[in-house]
Amino acid sequence: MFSGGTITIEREKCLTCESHACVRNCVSSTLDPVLKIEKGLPALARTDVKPESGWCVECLACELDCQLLGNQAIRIRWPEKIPAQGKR
Amino acid sequence: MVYLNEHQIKKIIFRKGIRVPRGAVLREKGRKQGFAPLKKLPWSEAVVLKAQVPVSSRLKKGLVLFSRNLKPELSQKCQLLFKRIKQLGLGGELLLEEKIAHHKEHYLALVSDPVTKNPLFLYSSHGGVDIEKKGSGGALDLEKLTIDPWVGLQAKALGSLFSRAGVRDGGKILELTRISLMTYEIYRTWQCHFVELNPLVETEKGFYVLDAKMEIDEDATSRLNPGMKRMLSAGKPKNGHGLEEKAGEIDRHDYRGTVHFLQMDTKSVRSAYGKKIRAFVGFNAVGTGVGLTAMDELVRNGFFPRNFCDTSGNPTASKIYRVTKIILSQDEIGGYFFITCLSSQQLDHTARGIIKAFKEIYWKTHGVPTIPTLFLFRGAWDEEAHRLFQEHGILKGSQTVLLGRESTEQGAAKKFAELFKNG
Repeated sequence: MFSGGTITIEREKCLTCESHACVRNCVSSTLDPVLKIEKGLPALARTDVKPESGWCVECLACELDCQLLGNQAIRIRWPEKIPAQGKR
Repeated sequence: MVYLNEHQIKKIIFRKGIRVPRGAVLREKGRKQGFAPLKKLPWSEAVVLKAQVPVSSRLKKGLVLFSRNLKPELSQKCQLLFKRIKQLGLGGELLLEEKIAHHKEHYLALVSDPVTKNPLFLYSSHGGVDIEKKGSGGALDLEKLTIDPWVGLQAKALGSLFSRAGVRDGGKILELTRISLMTYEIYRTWQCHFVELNPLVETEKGFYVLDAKMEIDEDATSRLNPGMKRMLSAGKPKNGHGLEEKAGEIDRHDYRGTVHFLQMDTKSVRSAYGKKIRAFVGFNAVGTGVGLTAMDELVRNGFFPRNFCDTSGNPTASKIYRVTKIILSQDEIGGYFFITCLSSQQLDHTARGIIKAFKEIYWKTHGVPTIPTLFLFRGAWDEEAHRLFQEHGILKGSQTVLLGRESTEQGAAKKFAELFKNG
């Protein structure tokens, strides 16, 4: 992604998913969707643009919706490590 | 703003041909045998030990000590200073330098004037500590000269300024002019906001700079050469776990919205407010204005922000997520407070960033915070933001509340205080 993060989609998990929640709120969907469902699996809607160009607005909707309604197949991560020391 | 340590500034000044006291930098590591005296100086000569920390009025705060150039005395005082630096929550070095006998102190500075948008040269013949009280009638006594950056600082103008300030000796005027021109060169080449030589002292050998400050414009550091950049990173004060630096990285290569994160000095707050403090809270605001108002209201209720954070300008949800994790990773926090202004930014993005962070941090409770937490969403897409919080179950706990457009900063702070009562 533009910010340096990485999106990982475990597509094996998507094989049994019926919700396709990841595309439900893909924010750009009305203009220029990042994800689409192709043969029942999530795929990039375009191949001529890379998501790291800033095409993906990093709204995190795909990951959160997949967690909530799908098969928890999407993970978005950044390289930095933040110390876990606050009150939990 | 980027700061350099005093010993680094003195190195820069010395390279420009301005006299500074002879000295050495002392580090704590590997010094179990104590600290050796300064070889360049005679035995038992008077020396000064200065903590290299970004703190003002070091002398008054006991961060500058005087000693003799003898190992036992020096070691004892070095250890005391290192202890005081640690008490401030900082890491740092000491500068050991010769004590310069002098008969007069001057003040000389260059500052970027926000009114004229030009460099401003400042001079006073009464330098040293509390210069604002040293002029005639106990008031600040400064001679000012606005500099046209296209023309630069002119020796002729400086000559008249020093005469106006009461310097009569031609030799001294010449020397002060030379020092001023060199300081202006440092100010320009190092992209400074502020350079200060105080005190600039008069001795029998000439002028010496005993202390100096430099603030560099962080947005202009790309213009510095690699050597200068290395010096900057070496001088960076180490602050806690480097959370400010980590937060700074979020914006570094991503122009979409802003994340401004700054940690508060809890020790100073404790010493100033003592028992009035009910808790330190992790704080995030969309909009600096609403942030300041909300912090005032929180303090009134006994809640002191552990940090200031502004996430405005329509940042991506990923930015919000990363900074929320940083805010909640701070030590000493007993609550979390989030507030927006009547914002035009897409608040559903903001909500998603927060939700993802909470779900990861409070994974045991599926995202439900275990500390008193208040969210106030007002503005564009706020209804969507409210729906997302409900949908993801973040509000299930009794210590969490979500407010909307009907709420004020004052009301939110009171509601937050109620959460602590209930808890």
